[in-house]
Amino acid sequence: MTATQERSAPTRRSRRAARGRAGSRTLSAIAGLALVAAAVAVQTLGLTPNDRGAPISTTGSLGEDVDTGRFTVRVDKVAAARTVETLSAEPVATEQLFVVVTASATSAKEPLKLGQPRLITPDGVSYEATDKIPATNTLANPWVQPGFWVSGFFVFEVPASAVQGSKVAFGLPKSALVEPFEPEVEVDLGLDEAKAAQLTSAPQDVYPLKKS
Amino acid sequence: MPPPRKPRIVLQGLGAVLALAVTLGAMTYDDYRVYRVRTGANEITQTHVVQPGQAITLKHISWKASVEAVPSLPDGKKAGPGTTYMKIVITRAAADQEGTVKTAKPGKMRLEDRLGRSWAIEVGDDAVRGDKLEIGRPYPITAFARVPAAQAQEVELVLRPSNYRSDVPTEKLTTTHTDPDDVELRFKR
Repeated sequence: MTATQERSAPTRRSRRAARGRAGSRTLSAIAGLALVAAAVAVQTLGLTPNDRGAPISTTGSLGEDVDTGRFTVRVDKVAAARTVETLSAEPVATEQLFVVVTASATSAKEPLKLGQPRLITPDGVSYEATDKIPATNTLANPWVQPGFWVSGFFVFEVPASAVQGSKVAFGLPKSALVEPFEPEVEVDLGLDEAKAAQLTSAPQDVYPLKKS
Repeated sequence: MPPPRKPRIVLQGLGAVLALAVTLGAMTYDDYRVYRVRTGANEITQTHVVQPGQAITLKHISWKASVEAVPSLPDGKKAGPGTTYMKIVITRAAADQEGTVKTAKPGKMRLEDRLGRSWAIEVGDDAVRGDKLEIGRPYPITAFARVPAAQAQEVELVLRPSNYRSDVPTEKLTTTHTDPDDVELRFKR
């Protein structure tokens, strides 16, 4: 009953209260909008399923055995070339630069195959291993098994500017069913300014992919 | 009357914590399941152990196998230092009419040592030609593997027979019920 009385006979004080209510309603609306905007903004920070399940990297440096628990990879050597000669003695040329990584791998418990690795520059740009060289010529071809090491090559085709400070990430082959938190080995190739300059300024003319 | 504020905040807090726990739990469970499926840990397996030199008849097929170290592959290639090539001969024969359509190679073949480490097997030749086996006739699969020399005398062949049947028409491949794929054979040496 009190409420109807107030409405029928508004006093000065209740009118001021009504104005205050309208003001606070506007304020609430603005705050609400701000919250909605904030929620949308926060959404954009959310991880995609792929990012959330991204591989867990074990890091290491050139010449070091890097063990993920499931497999171990060691980068033995890094070279640069203008032309790579495949196992079938076919020359493959590039206008950029071929970075040839010689690596060895072994597995802890089960036979597995490595996927084609990625070369990652310090600014986070990544390059897949080149498909100009058949995968059968690379270390992705042989079984990586317990108790012994297998060695082979991976070849990247990159611009000379990508060489300095680059890392290579080795993982399992791509599959339709993506396993979350796959093991990955990330090796710093140890290419400081001087070594990078040496590689890019004097690449080998022909690099033969032959077992030494 | 303003609503009693405090108990509601506690309730909302509890709700939020619970929702977070359920979300993280569900995601973790899903990830773990994918891991199990991907690594083959989810397969239901009944293992049959076969004594050395013996045969076993299972699901209309009779199986026999031999595993031995060989100095080199048929093309003369020698195994690298510290390792040995193994020659594996798996002989299968149809035990009855039903077995004559089971023409596929085993789905999974491995050599395993006592610690449970395993090595891949690559098939060199399978004697099965066409899509029918003769009852009782042995069909050998010749295969090779590379293992550390120290394990050459202990590794055992583990194989998973395929449940493929050659008499299922292609258009019915996805709708036909075949035997469950749930058996593994372990050949003792």
